[in-house]
Amino acid sequence: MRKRALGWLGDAALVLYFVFALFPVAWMVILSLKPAGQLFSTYFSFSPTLDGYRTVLGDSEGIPFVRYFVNSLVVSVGAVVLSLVVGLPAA
Amino acid sequence: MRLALRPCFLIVPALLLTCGILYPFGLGLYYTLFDFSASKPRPDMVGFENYRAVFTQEAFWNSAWVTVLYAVGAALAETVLGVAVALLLYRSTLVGRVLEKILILPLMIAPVIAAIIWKLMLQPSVGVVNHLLRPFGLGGVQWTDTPTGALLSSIAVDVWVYTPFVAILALAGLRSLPTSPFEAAAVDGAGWWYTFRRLTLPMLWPYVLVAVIFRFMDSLKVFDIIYALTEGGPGDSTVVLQIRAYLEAIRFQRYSFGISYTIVLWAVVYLAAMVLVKHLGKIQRKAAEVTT
Repeated sequence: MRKRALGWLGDAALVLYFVFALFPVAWMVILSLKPAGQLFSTYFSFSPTLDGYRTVLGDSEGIPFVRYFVNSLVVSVGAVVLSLVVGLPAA
Repeated sequence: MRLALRPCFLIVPALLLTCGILYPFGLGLYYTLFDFSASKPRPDMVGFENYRAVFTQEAFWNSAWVTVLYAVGAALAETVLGVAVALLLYRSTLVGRVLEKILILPLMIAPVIAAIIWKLMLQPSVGVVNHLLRPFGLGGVQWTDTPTGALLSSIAVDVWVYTPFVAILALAGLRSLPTSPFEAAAVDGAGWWYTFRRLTLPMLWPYVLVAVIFRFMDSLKVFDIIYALTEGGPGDSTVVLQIRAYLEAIRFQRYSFGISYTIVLWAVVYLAAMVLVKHLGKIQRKAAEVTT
């Protein structure tokens, strides 16, 4: 009985940590779906909109998202390839 | 002939790597001997004047103190929390198995992004954290607007991002421990606390210490989280050495002086790493003794 209670307590502690770990991520997603006017309201109810994503992915605001993504890809793939080429024979 | 040449070819990339690391380092070291700045494009050799200036600057000692507080605080909190999470996950309860899958999520978010989202959340009047605390009568906490609060908030963001890193390493360590000592202890009727203190902890220490080394060195060199969260403010309260170096070299355009700061920081990190790695060897030997 005592062991069972301790087990529940452990699970509760885990859940507590994960609330701390995941809340900012969830809040980030919520913020991304909010219209600009409700950005600073801290209530969880809001009228969801995909405007943010449309602005980022669309071409209307002149944000070359694909270009940025390709830049990131080139840098990370380049770094991996280069460090493998240099690091593998060295090891 | 061909056999004799092969080791020479294999060593070329390593040699290039060493040169690639040492050349900029040596060049930086060389620059610190001049008084190169935006107002003086034709620098004169000044010897160790830059270092003397660093060590006599009051801002340096403030930055050094803040850096140590930040690194020790962050590494300590991450280790305690990370090991605790790993121990709880190791029990493999239903809740634990589900949560383990998403443990790595904060690590996948760039620290700058994490700092920005926390900055929004910690905003005193419109941030969600104060909104949630309001029912408990704590709605007016000035998270990043007081010196102590700003430092603690930056440490908290560091803890948020990197605790999963420590937890993953500790969990991998726990799962790779030999089972026979635990079976022997169970046969002998050893209690939970005794097993934990005499078996789990000593054998787990090497894994934890590797995580501590990584985290401590990384947080000594912190830049992104603090720059995005507080920009070193309020006042000088969160200006760590790396931020100080950035301010001197880029904002005040005293290039040589800024590089001197990074060299001093490098020396600090190097010394800390040496001490910790030496300690690691000792602890590994101790862990080996437990299993035999």
